[in-house]
Amino acid sequence: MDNGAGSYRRFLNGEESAFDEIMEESFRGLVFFVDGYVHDVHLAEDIAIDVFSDLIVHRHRYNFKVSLKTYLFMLGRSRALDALRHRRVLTAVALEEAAELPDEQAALEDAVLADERKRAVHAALASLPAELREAVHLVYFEDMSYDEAARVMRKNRKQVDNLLYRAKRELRIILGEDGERLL
Amino acid sequence: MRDMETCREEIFRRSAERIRLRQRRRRMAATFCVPLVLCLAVVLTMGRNWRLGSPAPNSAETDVPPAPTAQQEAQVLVAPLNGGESWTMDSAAAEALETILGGWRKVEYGQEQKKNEAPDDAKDSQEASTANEDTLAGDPNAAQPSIALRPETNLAETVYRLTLRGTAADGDYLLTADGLTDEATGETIPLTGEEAEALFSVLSIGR
Repeated sequence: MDNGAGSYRRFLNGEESAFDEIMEESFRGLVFFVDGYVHDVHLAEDIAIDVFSDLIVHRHRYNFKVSLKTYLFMLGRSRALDALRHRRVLTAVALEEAAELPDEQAALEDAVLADERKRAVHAALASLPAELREAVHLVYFEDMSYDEAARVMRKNRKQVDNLLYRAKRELRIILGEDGERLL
Repeated sequence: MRDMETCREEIFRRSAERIRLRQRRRRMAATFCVPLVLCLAVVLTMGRNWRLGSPAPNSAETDVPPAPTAQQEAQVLVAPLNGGESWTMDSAAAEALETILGGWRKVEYGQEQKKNEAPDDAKDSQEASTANEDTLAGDPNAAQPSIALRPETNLAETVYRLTLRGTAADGDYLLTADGLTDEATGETIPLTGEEAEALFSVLSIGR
């Protein structure tokens, strides 16, 4: 499993359908991941679209040294943090839109968190600090290795290890005996 | 939330737009920025040349051979071709010889004056000035190929190779009583009797 690198190589060689494979594999996960930062599904989707658009516009920026998924998540995180910086003054959301957001959020969760076990963990994650949540998300939901998660989070492997250890301890407390089984 | 197909279309639409925008920026750069930078470079170069007072690269003055470096002292090696012992003369002799060569070349290029056209190096030295006067005392327009040499020296029979170094007229020359021949080009400077005598004297030939 090359996490999209092979598909991207085929896309660069002119096979346009390979891009669909990449999207199928990473797009929703990326939107879900970015949404963890911006807490706005529409903005997260917009950022994910921009990230995928980068793959087409800057075709030689990705160097195939990390998995494509890791690269996409790195871009996504970076753009999400940029968006947060720019959005600081625009925190007010129209009431109508605010009312729609939970439904959208639920739809996204449905799309990404297919099985019940992951959904329970994700619900418990909401009460964790952002860094712990991010580490669990990448390793547990996106099936990334510790090294890949460390790259996305711009931390070293040991730091990710520590974050996951702390996250698991917290989740055991929140989820109780069930949580022990879920993790 | 949009479905996957809509997102895919949006990705390709945005990509095409960004690519178009990038191409337009490149065209703008090629149309305006590159010529502007080139113009600035030309103006700066011209300004610098003007400030330094240096001649333009295609000026006729660039044909002038470069002046000798300050470190290299002018000297001339005198070697009789009949197998006699050679010797080296100091800068005064070298500069006197250079003056003759320089004056001759300027006459060849159509200038009227032969005298007082010596390169700057020759003017620096008082000894050289004296030598110039001695060497070029004769009327240049009345060049006589045949000269009367002092019979006791019998110089007319000997040819000397002069190797000139550290001057603007560096090279090998053959000196006879009749004239001075540039070995590289084969051109000969005819010498008057007085010029030849003065040159022999400066080069210590026949003493």
